[in-house]
Amino acid sequence: MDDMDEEVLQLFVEESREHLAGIEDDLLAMESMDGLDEDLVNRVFRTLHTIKGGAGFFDLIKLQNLAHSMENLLDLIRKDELETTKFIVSSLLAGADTVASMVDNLEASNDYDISDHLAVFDGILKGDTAPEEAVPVASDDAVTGTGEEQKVELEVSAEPEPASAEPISVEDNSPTEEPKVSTSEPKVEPAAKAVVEADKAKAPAAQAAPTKAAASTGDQSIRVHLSLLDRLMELAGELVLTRNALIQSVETGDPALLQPAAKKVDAITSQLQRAIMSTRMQTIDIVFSKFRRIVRDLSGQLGKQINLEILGEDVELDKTIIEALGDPLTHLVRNSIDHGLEIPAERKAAGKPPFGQLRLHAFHEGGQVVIEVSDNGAGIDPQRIANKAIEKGMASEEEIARMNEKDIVRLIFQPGFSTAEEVTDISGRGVGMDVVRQNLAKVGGVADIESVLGKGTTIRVKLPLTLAIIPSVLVGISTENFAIPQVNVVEMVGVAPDEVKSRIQHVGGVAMLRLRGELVPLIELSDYFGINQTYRDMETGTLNNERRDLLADRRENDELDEEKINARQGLERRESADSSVNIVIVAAGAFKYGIRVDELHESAEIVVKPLGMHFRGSDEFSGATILGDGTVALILDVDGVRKLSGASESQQTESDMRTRDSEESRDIDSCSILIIQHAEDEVYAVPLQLVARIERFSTSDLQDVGDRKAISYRGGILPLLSLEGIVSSQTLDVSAGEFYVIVYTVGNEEIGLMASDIRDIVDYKDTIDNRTHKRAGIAGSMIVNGEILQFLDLYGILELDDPEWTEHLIGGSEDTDLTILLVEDSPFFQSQMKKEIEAAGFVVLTADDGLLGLEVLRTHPEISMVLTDIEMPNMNGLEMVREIRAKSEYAGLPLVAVTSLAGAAAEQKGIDAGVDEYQIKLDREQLVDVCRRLAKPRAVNA
Amino acid sequence: MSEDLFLEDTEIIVFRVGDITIGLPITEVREIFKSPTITPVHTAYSYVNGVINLRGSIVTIVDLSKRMSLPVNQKMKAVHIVLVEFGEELIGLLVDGIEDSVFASSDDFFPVPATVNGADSNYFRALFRRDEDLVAMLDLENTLDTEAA
Repeated sequence: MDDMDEEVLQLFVEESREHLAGIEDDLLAMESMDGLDEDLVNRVFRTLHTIKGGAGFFDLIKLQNLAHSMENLLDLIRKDELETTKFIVSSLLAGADTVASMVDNLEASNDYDISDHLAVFDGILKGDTAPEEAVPVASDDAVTGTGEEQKVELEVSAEPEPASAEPISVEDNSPTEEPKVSTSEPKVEPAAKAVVEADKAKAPAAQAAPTKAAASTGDQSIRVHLSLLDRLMELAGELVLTRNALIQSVETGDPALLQPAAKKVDAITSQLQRAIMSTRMQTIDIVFSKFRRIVRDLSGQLGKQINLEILGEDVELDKTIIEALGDPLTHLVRNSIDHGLEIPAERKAAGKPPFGQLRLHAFHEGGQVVIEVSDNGAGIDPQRIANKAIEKGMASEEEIARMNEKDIVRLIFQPGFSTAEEVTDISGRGVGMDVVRQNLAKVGGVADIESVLGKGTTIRVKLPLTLAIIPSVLVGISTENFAIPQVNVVEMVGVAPDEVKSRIQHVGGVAMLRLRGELVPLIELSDYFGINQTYRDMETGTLNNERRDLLADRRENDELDEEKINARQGLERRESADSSVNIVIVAAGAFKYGIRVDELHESAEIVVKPLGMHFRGSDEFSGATILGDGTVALILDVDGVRKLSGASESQQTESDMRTRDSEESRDIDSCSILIIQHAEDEVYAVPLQLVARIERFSTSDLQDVGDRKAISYRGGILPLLSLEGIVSSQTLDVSAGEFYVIVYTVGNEEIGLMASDIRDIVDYKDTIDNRTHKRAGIAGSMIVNGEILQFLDLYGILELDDPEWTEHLIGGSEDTDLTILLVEDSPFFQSQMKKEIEAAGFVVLTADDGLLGLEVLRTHPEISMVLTDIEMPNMNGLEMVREIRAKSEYAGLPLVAVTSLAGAAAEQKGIDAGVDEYQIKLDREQLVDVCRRLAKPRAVNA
Repeated sequence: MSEDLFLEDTEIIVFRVGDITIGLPITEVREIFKSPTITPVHTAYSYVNGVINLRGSIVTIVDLSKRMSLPVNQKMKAVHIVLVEFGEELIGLLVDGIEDSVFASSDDFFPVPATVNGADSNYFRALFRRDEDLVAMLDLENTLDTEAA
């Protein structure tokens, strides 16, 4: 074949592909149409006719025959001599697939076995509405129709190779002709093809494969509308003229000419950029349209009834993104059909219309394109996801307990959440969802999921319009510039100077920003990027001045000119305590965090440039860009930065946790807490019930007794304890010349905890978070008036300070075999009390509410005492006590109520209900004492 | 290591890194220019100084003295960049100064000793005698490959 022919052939392929792209939709439209739409049928007819003609020209016999055979069928339909049944459309669709595949592999097209197709078409022409095997099945039965038909085709294709026939010429219209099987080719080949075809018929969704192949082969050229090309020419012409004007104005040095020329260059460049970009833009319809077929075939196969609704198919995206979207979207759609939408019977049972709704919706939102795949199916059961995650070891039960339902559902995006062989084990969604997420991430897409059990699932995919140019926020950190893709930016927060202290808090080494009741971790990029190893202390606003030293050993700083030095000094001024802090809140997947920046520059469309091989391990950068002044700015990959900072994705739930608890409106006990200050911006909470007295002393009263600070007090010596070096790295702030002592009792001794100031006493009604900040000496954390308080474990800090002395005070624990049931809904109090009682040598069983308490009690006859909270969900403590007292088998079982609020009225109520004693929750002494006194082995009699 | 020696007459660009005089065949050098502002970047490789904008492309800058763990010589000014093509990308070598361009015949090359003025011999392919002093011929593969030790 010479060059000329090669070119014509290429043209034929491209044209055929273009025609074939629409044929599927047209065939599907024919099927769904009640009457006959002549235009539609004509269009399909013409497509096949064109292909037939071209194939004849190039001697592609098989292709020609197949197209011809289909054309004949359509001719009859067009003349209204044949009714369009589902079976006929299925056959034509299958034929069109083969035609498309042959067009993609023209060289091998004569090796295709098309006999099965021809036999089917032949049968239809002879008057069979469906071949014998399919007769029992009504062809338009929506429930089983397609599946059966596919089987029929399979059987047909399994038939032996028909005898060869004479090759037919283009003019020969006989539809019954069989194509000749070339004798020169090995017999195995067509047989293998037949298998391939059979497989295809079996799994229509696998049809995505040829489409993809077409996309990748068609990669190299793109069709541009002539008017667009004209526009580009026009702009290029204008640019040349403006360039001339610019050169002239520079040469003459006339500023009056320079200004307008520069403006014009600016305008033309952006127009040119838009125009060139638009040559790469394609409508999303290219991706969406194939789903009509997938939905039709798959729903038929699974016996489901599904309405596919497609919205926003004219939304345009960059060609690269469009191409990358096919697979992930197919996966999402298949998941919806496979696992989301129920069969009609189930839907009816759930009170839903039998037709499931599947919606694909593309729309613009904030400079990005959003694609939603939503169904009104069964939704995802978070419980099953949670179980699965625990089983897979991806999350611990505690972690799950901290998550809200939305976050649990999001776990399906986690790598390794589900593998193919376990498709049926879980609710099904989430199969390969991590792959979907990764594939989308490759083109800058972000996926999120929302599901309501029983109502349906929506998956939102956010995509950039194009990859080459991305809208970004430019930020300055120290003297360096970074670009953060707009797609990742949630919001920008400026914290005013007077709010810095209250809104940004350092808790357990992690800086957190309080944002509308949520806690967002902050990441200091300079810590990781070696910009300078110093960072500003978020709490005090002071700057560690190691900067100069570091400046010195940086080689390129040899070139630092005065200006740069000045810039740095300016920066330090900017970072002084009385300046505001700028934070960019970004989202990496479902994880949200803040990046502290020194400067917020403008938003800009940046051109992405690749980085070299030395950056291969640097996940924190996705590329670089060149700024207006010619300098380079690196583009941050927010997910990479998250990994770098070591923040785990599950950490996200910390911030949501509080919201969840308040949402659930649990019965929460109030608890009086004393807020004490240790150093500036370092505050702690102490349960007021444990505090005997609060005293104030002057620093001059301090004495050293042994290696311990102490103070003369009430004729004796009061040993003092400071948090410094125990739970705090800061020294006690005694700058006022005075300090406070919180006196509490351990054993028979009084201990004084030193504090710089007493802030407040508050009634705390919210849950105490016993996970986020828990460590030795700190029992948990709480938020009071927007401030994070660390809840001190008064015994724990003593133990940390002097373990031997503590043991001496408390007395060693002696193991008993006695079992105590602790009924308490607050995880904080439960774990705290359990720990204390266990430390005293008891076995502790726990239950989260009264009902569960009764259940544990029933199944564990060894329980020798019950400690119960009063305020609890489901069944409160008093109700439970009454239940227990009403049963004779529990006669004599000691029942002790624990509470954080003591009051005579409450106590009377408890005693009326049958409680033996009242105790305060965090008073370890009393708790242990009551256990030792009351718990006794219970005679197991009924 | 004789196969490492240059078998043909070669024109060599000679430059200085710290106390070492280094040479590269002119065929391996794409460009030499004064260092523009380098944007510092944090990577896994401490000897990567940063990136520059070279006519619209991002070029990684490798500090040769850091790469060879040479003591930092404050007197020397890293002002020149020798642009080389490595793999499929262009990499800029930050050097202290460009000295010369000389013509060397294959007889002038001889094997590298264990160290060259404090730098590991691994970074060099051969030595070349230029008048009274020695020029170490840079081994780009071993110097730039991120897989290499």
